[in-house]
Amino acid sequence: MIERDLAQLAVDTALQRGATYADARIIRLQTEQLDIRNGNVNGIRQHLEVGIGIRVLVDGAWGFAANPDLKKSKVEIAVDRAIALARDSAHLYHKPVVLARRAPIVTVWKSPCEIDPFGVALEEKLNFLFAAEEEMRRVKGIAFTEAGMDLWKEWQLFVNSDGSQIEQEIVQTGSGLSATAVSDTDVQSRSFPSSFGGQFKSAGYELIPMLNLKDNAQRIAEEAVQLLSAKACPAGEKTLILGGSQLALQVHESCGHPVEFDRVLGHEADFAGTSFLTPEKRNNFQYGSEIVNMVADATAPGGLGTFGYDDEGTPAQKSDIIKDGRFVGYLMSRETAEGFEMESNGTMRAQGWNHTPIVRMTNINLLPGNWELEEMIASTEDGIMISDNRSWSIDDKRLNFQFGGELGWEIKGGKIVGMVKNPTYTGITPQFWRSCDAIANQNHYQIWGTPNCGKGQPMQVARVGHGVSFARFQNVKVGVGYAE
Amino acid sequence: MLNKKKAEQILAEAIRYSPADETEVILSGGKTFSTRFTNNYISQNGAQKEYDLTVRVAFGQQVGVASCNLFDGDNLKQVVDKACLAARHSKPDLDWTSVLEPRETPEMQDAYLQETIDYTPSEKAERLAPILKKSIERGLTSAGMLVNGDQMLTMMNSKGLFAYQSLTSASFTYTAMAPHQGSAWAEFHSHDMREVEVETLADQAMERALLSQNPVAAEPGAYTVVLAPSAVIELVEFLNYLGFGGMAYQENRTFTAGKMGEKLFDERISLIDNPFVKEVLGPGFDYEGHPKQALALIENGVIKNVAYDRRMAQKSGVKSTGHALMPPATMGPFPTHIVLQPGQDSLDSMIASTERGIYVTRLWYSNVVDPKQAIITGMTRDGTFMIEDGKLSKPLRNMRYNESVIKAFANVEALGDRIYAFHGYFGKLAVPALKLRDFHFTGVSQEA
Ligand SMILES: [Zn+2]
Repeated sequence: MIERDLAQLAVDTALQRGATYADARIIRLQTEQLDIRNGNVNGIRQHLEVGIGIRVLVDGAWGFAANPDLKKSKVEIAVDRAIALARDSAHLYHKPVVLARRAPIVTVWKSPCEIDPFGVALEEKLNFLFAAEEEMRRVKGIAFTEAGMDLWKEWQLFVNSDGSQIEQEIVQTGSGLSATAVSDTDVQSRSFPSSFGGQFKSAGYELIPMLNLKDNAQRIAEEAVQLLSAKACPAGEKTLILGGSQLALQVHESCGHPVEFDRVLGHEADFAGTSFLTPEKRNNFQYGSEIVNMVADATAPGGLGTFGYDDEGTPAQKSDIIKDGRFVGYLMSRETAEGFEMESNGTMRAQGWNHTPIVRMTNINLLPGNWELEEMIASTEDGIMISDNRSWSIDDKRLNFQFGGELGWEIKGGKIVGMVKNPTYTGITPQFWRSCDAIANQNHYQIWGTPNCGKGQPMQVARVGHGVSFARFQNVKVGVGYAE
Repeated sequence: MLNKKKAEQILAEAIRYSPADETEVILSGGKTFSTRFTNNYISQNGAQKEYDLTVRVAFGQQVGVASCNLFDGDNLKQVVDKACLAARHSKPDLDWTSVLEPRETPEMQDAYLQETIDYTPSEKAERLAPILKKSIERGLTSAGMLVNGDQMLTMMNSKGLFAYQSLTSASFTYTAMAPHQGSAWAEFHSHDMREVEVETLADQAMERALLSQNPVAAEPGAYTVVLAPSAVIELVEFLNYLGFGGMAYQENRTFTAGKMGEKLFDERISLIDNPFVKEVLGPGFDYEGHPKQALALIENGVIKNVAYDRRMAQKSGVKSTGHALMPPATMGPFPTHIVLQPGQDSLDSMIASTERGIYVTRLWYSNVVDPKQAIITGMTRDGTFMIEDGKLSKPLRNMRYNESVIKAFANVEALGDRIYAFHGYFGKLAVPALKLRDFHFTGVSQEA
């Protein structure tokens, strides 16, 4: 049976057997990961998976069943299982879920991709990585070097009982370098363009050469060696300038997660946690200073959290989260939106075919301001600047955080005066964002990919994005972590 | 569950398709039946089934890996072809060594319990019903998950090695929340659903949730702490991650590098890796088919061993300890079935003997600050209490800690008399409660 008929069969069967709503997602995911280490191939892995996930609403309760086998008989078994699971949920103290009917959407959507990454020869990809990695290995004092590439193509067919049939193909690519220097008492790494695997975007292979890995390889390797003998990050209250993937992660952890409405409603209480951004705060709470504006934008070109339609068939959207510093909006699904008189803003996403959709970040972007980075530095008396993340930690309500970077630049009297190692900072989310007094302009803005966001039970990993430039914060406690 | 015979056929067929000099094939996966509850009702009921076939081939030292969740006929052939194509177009892996010779890896017969995998969603709902009723009656909000499932790991190589193991699993995680910022936690893992003490655990957590309401802020500083096993687990995970991976050790990145045979910890601290201990039950072989046996990582405070797979063993001039992870295993080998050996003390006696300190239910969202000094940071969660004069005197707001795990395990005051099972990043762990002195809290979670 062709996929379209099979998905339709699953939905129709579910309705016949008592579901008031049903959706089916058939997914075909192809990935390739290349890892180079010290001039040697450390791993080449190609992966393919196919499966169907069926979600049904029966007597106001959800059931979900997934199966890798796309035979008609197996899909019918999965539908039966989903129906039975929904009934098992329904008979116990449940609050009936009501989904408003939606107009059907029948469409095909593809993320922009000029060069299919799976059409590029493996040698070419490896040669690209080896060439960049070799530049790092030339630097004296380097203990080991790594280069990696991650390629991803997901085809998805979504069919639901509202009559929607949505076909999507999303291609994502990414690559990065890191160099590590080691002494008997210290380990220091530098990465490019970002730590934890590099930069990832919704794009074809055309992205890879544009990342300029080779041009930056020698610099980051030298920095890693220099960090071993660099002075420690000073401790105290200072001005902090964040950029790159460090600012992206700050947005992710202290804004992206607490605005997930399912967290607010307690759905993640047993795992990821809840949120300090409770419903009475919406439109009524100064989250940050007046220059802080954040949006959830699943339409942002190139974002790792960009798509055409979410996994409930809601079109991708751009909506305000923080407006002029005020907290104004959540990430919502069709269900969490019911009863709060707020509409879904299209953020229900599932990991593959084997998981039920949950509320997820898309691209949570800190909109650019009007500063030049140079001006931000020049008007900083005593500060630290951090761009690449090394470590992150935040509490289950998303208030108290501590982050560490790979490298810090110390700023004195408006000038960068040197490098510091093990830079860390800590704060409380709203206090921190209210101290934001400068955001760099569009010229410094880019969307960073975060491919490893964990949430849900059973745990799901999502690929999300964060557009940021640089931002400056006042009176931040830095140089923490080495408690005596 | 794919039975042993069917699995063996699939693996043998894949090896037959392979023109490579050497081939290893792994089939792993299983079923998960999860009942998730939120706000005192069942919010999500799911059935998932997933198996993956991973093929690693080598032409000389050119190695490629491909994996796929389709493994009948053509699909099986295609995944082998893909691995071969990757290998042929790859550069040599200079650390590659030949696949293992066949040897006996005995299968555990009692790790797969039919009653556990047959436990139905209706039975789970019935089991949860009284808890959720009680939760509503007490004005509490309950969230959690009751899960049963199975996992299978089987592997074969072109020299004829074959190993198979299947296991069942049962897990209960539970959060009780009380109106005024009260929160408590319980969790239990076993391969046997009958052992999961759902009612008792939930009852205890509900009482604790009520006690933890209206928390106050404690001053940051160094405190004596009594850590419940659900807090100890976080420290042990990072102790393992920062200390006992063979690749990181070989690269001088671990805090254990150059310290083999040195006493770094309190002499009551002994850490082993052993998949035959009931609480951390696992296959008796690794992803290369190497048999596992108990491996002492720390013995009476002394660093004894780190984990190796055959690639890192060859590179380091030692023998594999049977700790290969799933190919291509780019992080190298790690211990995956860890037990921190228990001591003599009850949790109650640890609290009773504390004049002033802090009781911690969980440590949460921890991460590395400094790998060589093994400093990590994280938050407390789900019930933090001040201990005064041997009693939990008042609930505290969640606190941030920054501490070196080396110092933490050197500053042991008391060690719990029973181990509890947990699921971690690299596999399973079992730990007792711990009482430590001089544990550093550096901040409090509190809105300005
Ligand atoms: Zn996340």
